[in-house]
Amino acid sequence: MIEPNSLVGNSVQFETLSNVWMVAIYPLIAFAIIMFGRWQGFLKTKPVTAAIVVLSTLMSFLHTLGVFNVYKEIIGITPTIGETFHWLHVGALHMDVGWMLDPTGFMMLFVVTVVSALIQVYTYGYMEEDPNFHRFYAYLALFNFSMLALVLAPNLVQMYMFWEMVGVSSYLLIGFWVSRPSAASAAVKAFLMNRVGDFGLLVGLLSFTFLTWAFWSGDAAPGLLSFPALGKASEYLMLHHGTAIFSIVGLLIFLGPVAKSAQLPLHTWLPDAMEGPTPISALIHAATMVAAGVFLIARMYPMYNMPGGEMIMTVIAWVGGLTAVVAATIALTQFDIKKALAYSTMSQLGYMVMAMGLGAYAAGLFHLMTHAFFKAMLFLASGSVIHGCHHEQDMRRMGGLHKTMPITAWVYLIGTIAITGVLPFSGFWSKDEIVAAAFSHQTLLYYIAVGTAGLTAFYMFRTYFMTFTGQYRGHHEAHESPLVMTLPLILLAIPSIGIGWLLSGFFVTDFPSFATLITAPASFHHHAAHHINWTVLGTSMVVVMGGFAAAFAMYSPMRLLDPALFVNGAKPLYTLFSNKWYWDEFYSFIARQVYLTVAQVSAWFDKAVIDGLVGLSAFSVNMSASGLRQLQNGRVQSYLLVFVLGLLLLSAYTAVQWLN
Amino acid sequence: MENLPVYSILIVLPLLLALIIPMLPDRDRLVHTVAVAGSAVLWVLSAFFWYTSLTTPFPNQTIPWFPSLGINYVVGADGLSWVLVLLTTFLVFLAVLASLTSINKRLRFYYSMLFVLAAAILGVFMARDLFVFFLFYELELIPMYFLIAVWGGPRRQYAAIKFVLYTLFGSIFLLAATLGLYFHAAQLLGASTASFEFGSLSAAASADMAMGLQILMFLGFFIAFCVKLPMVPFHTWLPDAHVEAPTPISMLLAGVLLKMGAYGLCRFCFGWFPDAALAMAPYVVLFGVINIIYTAGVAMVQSDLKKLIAYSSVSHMGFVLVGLGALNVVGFSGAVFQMISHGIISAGLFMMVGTLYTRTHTRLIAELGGFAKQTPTLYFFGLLICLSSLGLPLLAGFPAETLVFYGAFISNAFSSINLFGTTLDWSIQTLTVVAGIGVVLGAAYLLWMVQRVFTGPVLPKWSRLPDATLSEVVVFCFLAVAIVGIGFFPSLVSEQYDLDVSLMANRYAKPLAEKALPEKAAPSDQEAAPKKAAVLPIKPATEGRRVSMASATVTHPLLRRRSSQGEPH
Repeated sequence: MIEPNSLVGNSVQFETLSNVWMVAIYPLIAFAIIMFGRWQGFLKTKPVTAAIVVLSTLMSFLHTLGVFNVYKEIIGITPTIGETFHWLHVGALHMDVGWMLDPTGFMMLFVVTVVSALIQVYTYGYMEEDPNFHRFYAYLALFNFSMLALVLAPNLVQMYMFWEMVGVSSYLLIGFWVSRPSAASAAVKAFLMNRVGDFGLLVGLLSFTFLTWAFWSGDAAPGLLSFPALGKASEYLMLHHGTAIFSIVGLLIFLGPVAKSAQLPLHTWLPDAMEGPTPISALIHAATMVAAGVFLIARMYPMYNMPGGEMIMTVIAWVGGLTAVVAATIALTQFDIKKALAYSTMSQLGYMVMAMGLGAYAAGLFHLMTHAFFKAMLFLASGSVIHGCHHEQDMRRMGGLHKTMPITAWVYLIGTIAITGVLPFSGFWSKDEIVAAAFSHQTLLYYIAVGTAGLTAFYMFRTYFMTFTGQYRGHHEAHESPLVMTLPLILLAIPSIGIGWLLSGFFVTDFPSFATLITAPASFHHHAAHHINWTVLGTSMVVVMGGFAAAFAMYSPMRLLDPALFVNGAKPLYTLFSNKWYWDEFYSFIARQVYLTVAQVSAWFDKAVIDGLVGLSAFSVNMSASGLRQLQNGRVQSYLLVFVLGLLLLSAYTAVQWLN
Repeated sequence: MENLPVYSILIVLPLLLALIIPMLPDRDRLVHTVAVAGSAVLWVLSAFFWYTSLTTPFPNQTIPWFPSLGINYVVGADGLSWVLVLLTTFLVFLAVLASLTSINKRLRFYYSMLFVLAAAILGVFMARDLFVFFLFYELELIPMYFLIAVWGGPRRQYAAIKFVLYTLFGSIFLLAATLGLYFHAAQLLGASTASFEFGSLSAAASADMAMGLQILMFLGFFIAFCVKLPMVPFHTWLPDAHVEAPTPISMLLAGVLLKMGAYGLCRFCFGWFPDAALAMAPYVVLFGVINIIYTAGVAMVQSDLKKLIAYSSVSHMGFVLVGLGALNVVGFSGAVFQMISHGIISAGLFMMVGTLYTRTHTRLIAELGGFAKQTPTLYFFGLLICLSSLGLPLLAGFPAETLVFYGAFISNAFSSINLFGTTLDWSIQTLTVVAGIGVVLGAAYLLWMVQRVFTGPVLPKWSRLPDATLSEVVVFCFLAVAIVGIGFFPSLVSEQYDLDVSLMANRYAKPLAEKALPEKAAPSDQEAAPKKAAVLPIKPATEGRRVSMASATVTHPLLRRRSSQGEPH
């Protein structure tokens, strides 16, 4: 089954690196152990279950680290390493699975394993009382397996497979509290909306395969849709089918990220997904899975970013930009702390997608990384708050928690500053690069990006002030969370503060900067600005300070301004924002009114018309038989009557004939 | 070992069981035990024979029956038959296990009928003589009638009669096509040498058959098997039969009986009449798409859980039609893969419904709810099977759908379709995209069903119901292992029949390549590179692992005659 692979250039390193796929397998083993152990009943203690899963994640992390050390030695020779195995070969269709790594892949692996491990530790405190504690950890392991295998994917086939697998992990975890109807609906909604995106992705991949089939079916052809061959295949596609078809295929594939990263118009599942336990919101719906969309765009760069792909890139940039601003406007009006954070996630993902669309490959991925740390931390902090306030999520019933939950409050403040993009916190470095990229490419998007930064500052500080300052407005006594929950928070605060300037390449010069490590595949990439654009920086700083000032004025304990003033002053806008731009109503109409009616009509058609015809044919046979049976009634008189009638008719007919 | 009549053993063993079981004393435990043991032996034996055949294939077994009429008892199996035989014995074993809890009256009669059914199905898959095939195909109706009419629900009489009459309606066409084909062969070969053997008939079908006649034959087989498949609009017997049939019989009905139709389409329609298949491919795919989309809609709004699953089963069989209509090795492979996956998954879905029904005695979705908390084991397996059914990767449904989609997309079987005299510009790719919507719809009705049945608070009236019993867990475990195993390692399945579908697809490679040529010359495509389109290079079949159907036709005397035969008779 194992094939020597074409991706690895160096045969010496091949030996050392031949079992990298194990990185994804450790969590799968953990999943299997827990499921089997629970079923057989030998796994009873909660710490053991938690330890198995955390250990599996640590194994993945250490293995990645080991591979990275080997990789560093050969980094100049082979930027992309990998190995593939036959999965399903039929005729000339060669579907392979395996692993592939380049700097982008390593970055994702590190982010996923580090954030996962910390969240898995945190989960122990958060879910300790839950009767389905073990199942929760099993699902976490399943998600980790899917996510790591997605990151390792050497081709779009495997990418698609695990794309769906992370989707189902998300479905299982959103609907984890099975007896809550709202959780079940949210889970189904998330899965279906992602399926719609996946449908686009699937059709895109199928069209790509179809249009470049000659490329994949030759004798020495690379495995189907493998990433290293994607650039060549895209050139082939462009050459033979033109820009229009090229763009359509590319945009179909982009539908996958649109759904997965909650971009307009397939975004409404993400806020609902907050029905799941908070660690899930942090891990899947903030740090890792939703970022997979950005990762897929990065992997598709050889196609999207080639000459002729401008149309695709433009659409991506605009979808990202619009999502960023629309989500930010909705976040302004939310009172549920998790919903506010969810819209903020959506908005930040919009930034990343916009960056990818602008050709700012490194900036987009840099923001993915910093966002993963500080947003995971923000969600976990909100979880700590919810935990401490006895499952209260409404910020109107919080307040003043700085006194009772100092650690949580401090890390939340750090996260807020980081996401707002204040120097020198991590969010500043990544967001600034995106804004700078917008500045040099698209003026309108630049305004959107800067404006959204202001909105971000406003709604994030709004959540901070409402939750942690002023008077406590809740009913139950709030308390700080245990160490098992606060420790991961503190650990996540470190990269939230420091990873930005560490990797920005300005202060720590003996460490390579992110932009030099992570470069777009192929040679067409735009050169990202490696210097600070002071105009951009100054402008965005001013706007951010404006947002902060507004939040401070309205929501800090001083309450210089009454928010109601603005709510009433811009009533139509407020209504639009607080009703989430009416997307849910729109989809609900499509699903319930339109499609269910169609389905009802088909069901009626099936019963009345199709089965009716079957019944009718049986009935007519039955009727004609019983009709005919009347003729055979055995009475001579009636036979004679028919005979005489027939005779008369015949005579009449003959007579008429004769007369004519 | 080589001289062992393995195929006949597999057919006779269940028949013997069917004879022995009625003679046992009327003790439930004993009868159950014998049935379980018998079906287990049948399964293990078939697996063993299959495994042996990988190294040394068994020759076909021929016993002269009515030599003067060209009817002989010929049985054999190629890779395609073997996978279906294994599926059948596996599911019969599971159906017997499922019977332990769900059947409790007239056990001996029940098991007797069940084993006759098993023998008939195995006979269908292993027959190598069309007349024998027809007999087994009809034989299956008798036990099935009783199994529904005696152990079924309230409307069992209606459902059983409808099932039998509908299948018989299709069989008329099968019989007509069979006889027609035989007389055609007799005309070519002379009545003394013609026979109903597959090799002879397939050679006759490909030799000098006028297009009109070929299409007529194709349609004859097609209608017969489409009733069985079932294809819209011939499907309405199926929901009725499923709703009334007891759980194990539903498992067999969805799991293997439908596959007789799919197998027939694959073996005869697409294996024997390439020209007709080429002409009919657009309609086959179109009907496949209608199957997928339309029945998904019907399934969505069913209030009866078992009807929902029945319609979903119909919907998924549409993928078989789409795969076959692709006319290339990937599509054919996907169609066969779908038969196997669908067999296991739909058996699992009906098992799930059955376990709920034995507890609640209702199938109305509106009355169910909260079972995830109440019966976590059932929920786990039910969810796994549903996810597999909606095509989740790493589970059995995904490779089948993937192969069908890719097969249809890289195919150039047709680029337009003629409907009611107007030529529409619908290529196979366009239709496949529509079929792809089925992936979304399938997820929608299955997950909505899971939501309504399993999630939500535990309802007070069901709060005392027990979780899965041991025998149920055993059945589910077998199914789950099969589903996950196939999902992770799909090539274990596809390799078994790879050679057979390759040979089948080879017959289409040349006409399809010729079809692609004019497109290449089209002026719009100025600097077109050699478009390879759907001409798939077939792996050189050097091993010759099994005596395959299509390779048998090459050496058939008829072909040698064909060159010498100058004028029509």
